[in-house]
Amino acid sequence: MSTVGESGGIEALYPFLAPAPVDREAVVTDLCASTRRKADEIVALRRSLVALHAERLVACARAMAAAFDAGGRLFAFGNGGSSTDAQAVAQLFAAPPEPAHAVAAVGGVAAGAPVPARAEPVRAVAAVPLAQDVALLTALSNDVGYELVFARQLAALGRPGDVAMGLSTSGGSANVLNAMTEASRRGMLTVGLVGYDGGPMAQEDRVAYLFVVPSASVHRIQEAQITLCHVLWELTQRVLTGET
Amino acid sequence: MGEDPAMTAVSAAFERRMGPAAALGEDAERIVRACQDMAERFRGGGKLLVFGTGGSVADAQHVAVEFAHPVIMGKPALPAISLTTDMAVATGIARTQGLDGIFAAQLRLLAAPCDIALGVSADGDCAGVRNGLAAARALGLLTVALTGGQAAHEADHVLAVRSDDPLVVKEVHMTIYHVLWELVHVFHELEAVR
Repeated sequence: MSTVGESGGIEALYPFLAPAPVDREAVVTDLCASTRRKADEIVALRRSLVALHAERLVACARAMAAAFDAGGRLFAFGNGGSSTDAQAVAQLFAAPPEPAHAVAAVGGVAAGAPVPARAEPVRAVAAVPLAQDVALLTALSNDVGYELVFARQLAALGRPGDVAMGLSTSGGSANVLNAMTEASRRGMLTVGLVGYDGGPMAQEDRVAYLFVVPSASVHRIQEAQITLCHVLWELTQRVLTGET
Repeated sequence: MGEDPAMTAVSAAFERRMGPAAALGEDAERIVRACQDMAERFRGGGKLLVFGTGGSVADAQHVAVEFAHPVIMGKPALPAISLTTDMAVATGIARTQGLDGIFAAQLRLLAAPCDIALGVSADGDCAGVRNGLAAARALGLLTVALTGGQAAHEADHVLAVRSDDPLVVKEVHMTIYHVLWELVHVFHELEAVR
């Protein structure tokens, strides 16, 4: 007789792992079901964002496009997985997919009727992720404090009319909050992506455009946030290329 | 006055993502089998080496941080390294072996046969990732490819997103690697009591 879950209480998440002989194929079957549930969850979560954020996405895209037209740059930042998501957003704005890819077909077998692909052409925009320069990040962490690693960079690099985009699943990361405060103080356009109920980032009108992903799963929040970023990019491109 | 075309664009943009995201459910068993094999490698002392180019650089690093610094308290940290963070190494290799060789060359230096190679390619057509996976196979690693679009990658487990839009593929990749992380831990704990 085998028992599992002596560390981390995995049996709370997966009751079929509770003390019992381990039937591996039964485990596989249950994990397949759990994977399908996660796919359903993220689809439902993304769908819910349309009603929650469509108007804000349009308004934010117009404000960002106006900022870029006036010479503004995008600075994107976050911690851990959100730092890489911020990097991906900056990369998308600075080095958008080639037009061949922009006219993408919808290949989902469960997609139902095809939906028209997004418009082209695309315009590259100056965009810088703030967690990628390790010399700067470690210098600021060592000398000033980790809670100021993004705020200090914005103080050095940012100008009025730039765009500051902060990603945080909790909405409570001190360095992201401090950067938002610094960005507002400098007359930058502030955009925040958070999860749960928005946390501290949702308080006191801290950011101009706040997108809350109403989920308690860090993973689903990140997956929905990257979609919001992609849609925001697409809408910004529409404005920049004169479609809207 | 009709509806604001921008609002229509928002709905259309979200709608385009629903099919490929839901289709992931159909690939559940492929994903679970990949996790089973990955957990076995971790149990055997293997480490995870992740790589990709362009937007997938960020995903490679995201995967590595998920495994090495678990978001759920109490989960063991599992060894994972992204091959996309060191520009000195990457550009150094690129000078002599070309950009398409940056992952293969790093794998030949860093990889052990018991390791796992995970290549991420949102457009499914990245020579660097292809070469990396080929080098990993030659070395005896377990190979996993996260791809999309039409291209076929040679790997033990090919997890391909059913879309040609690299942005949509990236979004589904993120769900896949979050699931990979979670289920690898389930199998990892099962292995512990075998």
